[in-house]
Amino acid sequence: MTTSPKTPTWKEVLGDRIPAAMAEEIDTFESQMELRRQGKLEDKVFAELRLRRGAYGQRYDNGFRYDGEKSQEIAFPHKDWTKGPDTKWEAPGMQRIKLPYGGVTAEQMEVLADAAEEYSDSIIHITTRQDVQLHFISLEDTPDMHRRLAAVGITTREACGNSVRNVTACPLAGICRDEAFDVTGYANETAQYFLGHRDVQDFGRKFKVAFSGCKTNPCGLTSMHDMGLIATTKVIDGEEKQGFEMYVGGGLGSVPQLARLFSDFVTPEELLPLSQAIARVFARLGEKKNRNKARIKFLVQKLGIEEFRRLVYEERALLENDPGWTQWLKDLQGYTESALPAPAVGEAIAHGPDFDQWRKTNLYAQRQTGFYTVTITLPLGDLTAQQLRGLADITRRYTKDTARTTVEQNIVLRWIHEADLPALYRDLKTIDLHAAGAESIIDITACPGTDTCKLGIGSSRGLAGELRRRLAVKGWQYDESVKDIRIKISGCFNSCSQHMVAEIGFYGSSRLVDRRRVPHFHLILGGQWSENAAHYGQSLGVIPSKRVPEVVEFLVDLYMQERQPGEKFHQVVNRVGKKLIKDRLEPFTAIPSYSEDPSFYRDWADDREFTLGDIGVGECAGEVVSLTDFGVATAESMHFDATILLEESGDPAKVQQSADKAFEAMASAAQALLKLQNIDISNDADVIVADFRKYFYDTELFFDPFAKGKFASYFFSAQEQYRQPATLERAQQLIEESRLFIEAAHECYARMLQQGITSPVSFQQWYLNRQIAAQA
Amino acid sequence: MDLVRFCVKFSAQTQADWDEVVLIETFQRWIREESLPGVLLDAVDYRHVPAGPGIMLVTHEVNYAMEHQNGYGLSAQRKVTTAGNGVGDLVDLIQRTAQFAQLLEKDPQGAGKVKFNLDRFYFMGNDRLALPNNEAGFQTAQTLIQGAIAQLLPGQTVALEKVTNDARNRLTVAIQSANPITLDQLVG
Repeated sequence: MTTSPKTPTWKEVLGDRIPAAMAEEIDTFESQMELRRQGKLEDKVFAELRLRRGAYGQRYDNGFRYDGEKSQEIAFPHKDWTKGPDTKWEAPGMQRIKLPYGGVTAEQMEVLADAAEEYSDSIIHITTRQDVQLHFISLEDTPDMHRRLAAVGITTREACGNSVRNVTACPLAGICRDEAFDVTGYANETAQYFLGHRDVQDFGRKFKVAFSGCKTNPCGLTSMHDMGLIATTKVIDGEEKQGFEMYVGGGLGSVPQLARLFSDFVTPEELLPLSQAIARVFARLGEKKNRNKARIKFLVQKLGIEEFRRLVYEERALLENDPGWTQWLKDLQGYTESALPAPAVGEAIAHGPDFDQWRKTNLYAQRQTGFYTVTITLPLGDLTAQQLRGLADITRRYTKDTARTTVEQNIVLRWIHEADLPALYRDLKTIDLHAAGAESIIDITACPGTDTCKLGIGSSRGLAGELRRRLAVKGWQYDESVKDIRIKISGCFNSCSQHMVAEIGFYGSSRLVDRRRVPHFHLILGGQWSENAAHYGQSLGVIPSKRVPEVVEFLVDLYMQERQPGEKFHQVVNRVGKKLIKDRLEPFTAIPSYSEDPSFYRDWADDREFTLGDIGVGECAGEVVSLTDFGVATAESMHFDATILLEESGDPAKVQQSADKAFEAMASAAQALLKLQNIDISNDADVIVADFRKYFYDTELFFDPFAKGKFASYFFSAQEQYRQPATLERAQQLIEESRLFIEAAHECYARMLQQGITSPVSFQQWYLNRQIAAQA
Repeated sequence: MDLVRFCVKFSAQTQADWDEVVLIETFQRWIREESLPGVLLDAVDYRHVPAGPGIMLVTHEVNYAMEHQNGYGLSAQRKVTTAGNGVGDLVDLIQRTAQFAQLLEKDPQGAGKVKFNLDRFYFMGNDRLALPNNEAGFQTAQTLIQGAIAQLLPGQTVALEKVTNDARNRLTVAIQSANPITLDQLVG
């Protein structure tokens, strides 16, 4: 290597600028990396350690990649080096960087820009939890990257892993016209208090916290968090006091759950001790072995909110007093922001109609008269290092460093003098950050999907990019009637883009057509972004990926034709009815044959033949195969019927029927698979469950590579409660679980075909071979 | 400090009918057919980012991007050493970049539509400690570049000019040749 003996390291250069505790953590991590290289630190342990530094895995890090024709082994120079179970050391990873409440300074922007250029691909990505992510990172670079971030007050500690993740908050906190009070300080102090806290180190799963300034608007999304705090006030002894409604046990994930009200009023003094007590109960009683049941929502569901609350207060009473709970309260004023004393430029600059359009869509009039919050629309949450440096300059020029990221993957600049808006727009234009349409129909949220995520099924970003291009041309972002329709796209059912609370949501899926995989997306309608995202949408089934843009156009046209004055999109969907909509979407589900149009068999922005891994074209076994196809399709139809029944959720009989139908749909899918084992499989649900358990669960044939037996457990649990009185909530949950089970049945079927299990004879052969291998 | 992280950039001219979307298929095919040296990993679509990386081909050793930033062209970002020394790594990077450019010019998707201009190409430091954007960094870069050019183009004279830019940006050096340079010469 060409070296310069006088060139110092980042550790030396930054020296005391890195807080001592953070410096020590990073040094420790660097040592752990060395121990791992020497094989002295177990794979699994190191994986959790690096996750707790935000150093995440990326797609293909198992060392294999499907190239469109075959699975190719990636020839990393040192294939034996690993950074986790089945994870190659040299495979590019992702670095997640926390920004509590989304707050980011100009100086931090510059360091993020440098890190993106030197260690990544020059792109900074804003996530749906107000974090920053950098992709294609080498693990070797992470200690220095962490040092440079630490020197400007950013930690990556616990950005991933089974701990408290980034604490999010409304990006309008402190300037919002509707808030009860500014939650910024509370969000940041909560984040700092729990960072590395001993009581959050023993969770079975991640824990996400969000703060909202008000109940009605969606910025905080508290309903879908493990712990959500909504600012509120209460008159106590004749005096108005500030406090929080506290919610627990919410989450999207594969089966969305609304958070439950834990307390209608938590004082600021009790915010941290009560949160700590919740953490201790979660650590003590939460599931640890079965990852799929380890979020706090399952614990709350299992115990019931009353018992959970009792346990938490019991724990609270035992906690030793910690001055850290309250000593920051007296300094809360330090979080209060303000504007520059006068406009920075104040110049009257002539702009074209683009400026007027931008004003209409990208500005929020703050409650402080004369000031605006400007949203910088970032396409798919991305911007270049150069753009971010330019934005740092703009932040300094027009604000007192008051910028924040948002869960819609944008950045907002707060406290802009009205007189500065023309000059600001001019400056944003020079760095191509002047796009209008913020938070509109073209401002589509998408998770990384198959671009980089190991769990991705569909190309969420590819689809989002295509939709943006098509919808922008239509100008819908300026059309008052439709501009507020939000589209969110996830690469899989894990809801990282929050598709369940979008007006139009999608998540990645696939279907087998003529033995070939075809990328699809589930269409989710009925979600509501308002009221802190308290209403989740439902699936209307799958649409071929390449037809999704047409479907979006169809849905928007339908809305424009059918809406009554003042009606919002979800209201029209509910009034017209999902069944009618689904019927009218039927023509969009047609897939041309491969010879007619092979593009359907590839996903957006990816020219490879679509795959979920090594699955390719299986063997045709005639009659039995078509019976399974038919059976799974029947299951889908029954699932949809269950969904429709719930549209009359005020009728307890319909709710019950819906719950029962959801189970019956699962049984139908299970029976369809069992036909490959026994063509004469009974219609009796108990027999189906028993045989499914024996041939598909105990053998792990049904297991999903990542979710393992999670989806099968939904089926067994549903059978236990079949025909028992069902609440609306239980029926909704069963419908979601049924959807996932049917998806898993599709995938299981595809895997079986690929393995040559296409008939009762081949099934028997496979089963016998498995038993022999198990006994060996 | 190891001198490993730096970039080169070749400007490109394109025909009116050039649509960069074809690069997605092209890069996926190159990965499948192992058309370039190195460990080829993935094609990444950044067309939605204005003045951004366009479409990238990510490899273990080098990130290639047909980017729009500072003019359309091929940017190659070195990430790991292959030669074990700075000059060797720069030679290797330039050769790989030239190979990429040549492949694209000859590819069915690029033939007649994309042409690279090597009369003036660029070196960017991508390590703010080893190659700061100042006079000292420029001196280090000059030694590196001259060493590489001496190996790639023996006897050829090039003028090196530090590009004036924002001090926070990467050190950028324009490499101007007195005589035309071809891709064949650089591929070696």
